[in-house]
Amino acid sequence: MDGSGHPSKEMKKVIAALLALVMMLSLVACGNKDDSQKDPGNGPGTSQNDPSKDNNTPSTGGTIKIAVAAPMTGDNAEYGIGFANAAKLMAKEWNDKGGVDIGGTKYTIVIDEYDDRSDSDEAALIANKIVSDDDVYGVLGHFASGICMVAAPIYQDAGYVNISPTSSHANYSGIGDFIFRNNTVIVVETATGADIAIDYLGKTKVGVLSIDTEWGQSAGKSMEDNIAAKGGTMVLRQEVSVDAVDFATEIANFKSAGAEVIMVAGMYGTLGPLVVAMQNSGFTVPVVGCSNAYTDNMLEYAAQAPDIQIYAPVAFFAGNTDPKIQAYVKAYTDAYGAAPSALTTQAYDSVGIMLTALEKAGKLDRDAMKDAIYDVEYDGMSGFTTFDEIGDAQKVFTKVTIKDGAWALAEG
Amino acid sequence: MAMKKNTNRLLSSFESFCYKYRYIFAVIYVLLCVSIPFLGLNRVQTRLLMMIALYAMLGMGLNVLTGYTGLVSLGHAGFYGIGAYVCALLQVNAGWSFWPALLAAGVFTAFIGLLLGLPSLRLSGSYLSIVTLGFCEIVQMILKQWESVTNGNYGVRNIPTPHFFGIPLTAKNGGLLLLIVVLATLTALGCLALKNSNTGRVFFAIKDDELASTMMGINTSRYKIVSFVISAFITGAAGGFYSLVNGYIEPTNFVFNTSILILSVVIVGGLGTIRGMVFGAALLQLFPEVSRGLYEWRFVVYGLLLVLMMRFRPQGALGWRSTQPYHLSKQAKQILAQPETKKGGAA
Repeated sequence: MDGSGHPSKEMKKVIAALLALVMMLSLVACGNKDDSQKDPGNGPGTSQNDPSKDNNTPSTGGTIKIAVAAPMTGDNAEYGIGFANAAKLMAKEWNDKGGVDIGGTKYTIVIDEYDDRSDSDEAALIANKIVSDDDVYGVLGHFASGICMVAAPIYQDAGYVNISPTSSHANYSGIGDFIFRNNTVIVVETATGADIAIDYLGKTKVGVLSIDTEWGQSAGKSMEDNIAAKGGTMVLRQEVSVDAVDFATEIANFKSAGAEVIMVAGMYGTLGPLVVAMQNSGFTVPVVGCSNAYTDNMLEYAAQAPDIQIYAPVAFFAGNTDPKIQAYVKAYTDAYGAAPSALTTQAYDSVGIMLTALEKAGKLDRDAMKDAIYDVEYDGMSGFTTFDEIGDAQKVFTKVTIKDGAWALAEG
Repeated sequence: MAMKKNTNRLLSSFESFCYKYRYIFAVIYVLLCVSIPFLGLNRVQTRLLMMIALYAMLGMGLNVLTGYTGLVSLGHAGFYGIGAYVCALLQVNAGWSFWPALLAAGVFTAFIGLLLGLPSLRLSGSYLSIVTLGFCEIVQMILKQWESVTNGNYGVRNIPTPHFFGIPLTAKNGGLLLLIVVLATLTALGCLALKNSNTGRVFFAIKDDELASTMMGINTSRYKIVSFVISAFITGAAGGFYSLVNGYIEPTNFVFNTSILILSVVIVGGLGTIRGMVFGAALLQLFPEVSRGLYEWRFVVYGLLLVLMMRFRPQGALGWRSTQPYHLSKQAKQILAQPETKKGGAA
């Protein structure tokens, strides 16, 4: 017994040692792969560069990189992967045309992906990595506001253009002149919302319902200001918990306050149950949401509230009949199997803006590129975009409504 | 068996070697530290070294509680966060300079450690862990909700660069790295002194057998609180330093995952050791870096590594028992020497 027991113990050790060895080898192998990807400067984008290789003329100057830094794994991975997909699609379109024309020399665009895992420390590390790469001219990212706040100072310090398609932190673009956001600014968004409520629908008495998050509070405040600016009256503002589903009290309060239209600063999780409750209580005034109400999930709620008109201001609308947008939606869907979301589209436009600015600058110079962004007037898929002096995108919003169980442009 | 014996012999001779030439090593170490700004480290290397030193310090902080006294805390991110916020807010809102703010961060966190230690006295094992877990969540909620002070979800930004006799300490000039290396070294020396002190020995006694310690006349409650306070102080100071690393802090920097990472440093490195904290921090900070190419598989490999570690080396990577002579205090040596001479005189 003793003899048979002993070798098994030894065996375990051998197995453990083997496992450890395998692990180390796999690490080394992967590490190498990573290196080899980075050195020639064409890792993930190799296949996309093929078309441009056909136009290899003496004036081809090599490659320039755009880094995509976003969560590629973890909870927010779908956004990060969406960013990377959008960036690759935009790069492919430019490369198909021959690349970026900088002072007569054509450069191929390569997209470098970095995973920040939605972790500030990891984001700071990869930001340092990105700014150590001389071939990178612009950074698309990051996703979450807090992460953006950590990474942006590093890009600013190193003088790398950084456009976030999503950051909503009030102070983000104020970090420096290299930091931009191609995101819907809440003030402009709610201004369009107030425009729908007052000018488009012709109502004057507006009720506001906001959720109790940092975003909901600032959106609610901004609605208040915009209603006043449009000449309307805010009859009542109520705040609800972000996960509230019972709105009987709020609806009764709006009713007695005489609200003719309700503006909602909340996601579809608030807006949806609200319209259903309004339908059930017979309080059928129109409801105006924010751009995040524009989701397919909202349609299910709308089906249960046929008498409530639902409106939202959006910067990007996939069902837009504009042939340019239809072509983009088709290209994206063909490549990745799903229609692009508004955030993905903002990422797509951000890369376009960076490349346009670089071409406009006429030289491979990050400073000149940064200056050019302030002058860019970019007619993108997420609306006509310009940047103000602090680097916030100013977009023109489209009004959409739910009609016959689908999102449609609101006429007029 | 033979393999184990050989390993032990190797470790023992390695230890003797290190101990014999400890002054030489110390000189080399100091020279290396002083030359940090001139080594020409790039941004990424600086960042990684900084995080390693920071987590080594955090590990040493938790080690006092978990490794020495045997109280497992799942809430050290709470202390870490308090330290970071106190240091940051004192600088940003009250206009303090970094050095007093850092000290205040440590002292205030130690005070919170005292408060947490008091109700936790009657608890041990997993019950204590649950309480500390709750503590971490409470801190998280306060940081998020107390908007007038902590700025809520928006976090604290524009945390100024510290100056040392007029020289700015930044990541670029290596000053920040030097700062955290010095802080971590001071912590290590402090922990070493603690380990060899009466207090430290009491900690180990409580860890090994609380009942026996009580029977020996040790006021275990008092020492447990002392352990909490020291641990919180170190962690708070590390948090104070952390507020500088990104120049921006927000509540989500100090979540349960952070607690687990700190605990992993301690367990992987080797409970109760100081060398283990440095090794554990280096391993846990470098591993994600080396394995970047693995993407999602990284976490599988990471988990597997921890499981194997627990199966085959539960004492931690560098958690061997020292074979060096037991350090006695001068007083103890005198007491031990006295009967000898008396005996000699009588003979």
